[in-house]
Amino acid sequence: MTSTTPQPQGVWAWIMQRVTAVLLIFFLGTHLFVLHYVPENMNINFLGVAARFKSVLYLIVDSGLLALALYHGLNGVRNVLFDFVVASDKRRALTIVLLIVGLAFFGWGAYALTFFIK
Amino acid sequence: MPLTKHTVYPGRGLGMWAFWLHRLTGLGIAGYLLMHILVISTVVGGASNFNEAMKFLKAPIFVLLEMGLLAIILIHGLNGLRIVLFDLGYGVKKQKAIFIALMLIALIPFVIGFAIALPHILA
Repeated sequence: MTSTTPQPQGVWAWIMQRVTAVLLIFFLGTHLFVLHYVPENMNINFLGVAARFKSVLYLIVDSGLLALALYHGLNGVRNVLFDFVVASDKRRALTIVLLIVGLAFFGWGAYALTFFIK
Repeated sequence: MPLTKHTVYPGRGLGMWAFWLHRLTGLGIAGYLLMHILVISTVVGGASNFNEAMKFLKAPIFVLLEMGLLAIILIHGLNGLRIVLFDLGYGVKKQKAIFIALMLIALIPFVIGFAIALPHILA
């Protein structure tokens, strides 16, 4: 079995893992470059983040990044765990738990981001 | 679809190490992501709360840990590109050379990032 076999996590989850991977290379690359390689942004504080959040583009990029990273990360955890959890009812329960964790962290993270909008 | 046996990568050599490295770095980054969301959400407690958290995390030990984070993100991201390439049908036969080439490319942003961080680690 090679890494290209789109089982057992489901074909759509497999495709979405690749799509989010490519998007993350661009979005996370931008995120890391802007925050950690551009000298004037490196001293991270509330006013600096709030200033960046005046840009709608930045807001879209950051909340998009939150959703993309959570989906890719938790689906990746699911892929790893599926090699050890084989029973389909347990896999279903695991998927539901990860989905709830993902939605909770997305909701909390998106809520927190609104505090930077002044 | 129920499976009859485990599907853990059964190979040997560099490809196996790339596979396990991808999984371990992935799990590490996923754990960091959840922590990162919690740290940034200190802003819910007010701007000064957020600034204090950021100031706390400027300590040399955290900057050093961030270098580890940068390394595992670069490894995972660039090896991820390799996986996507294979899934599109390219490069499987040259998988070892592609892995080595991508890890050498990863060194460039790592060295630049390390040079930027070094004064903060030694501070």
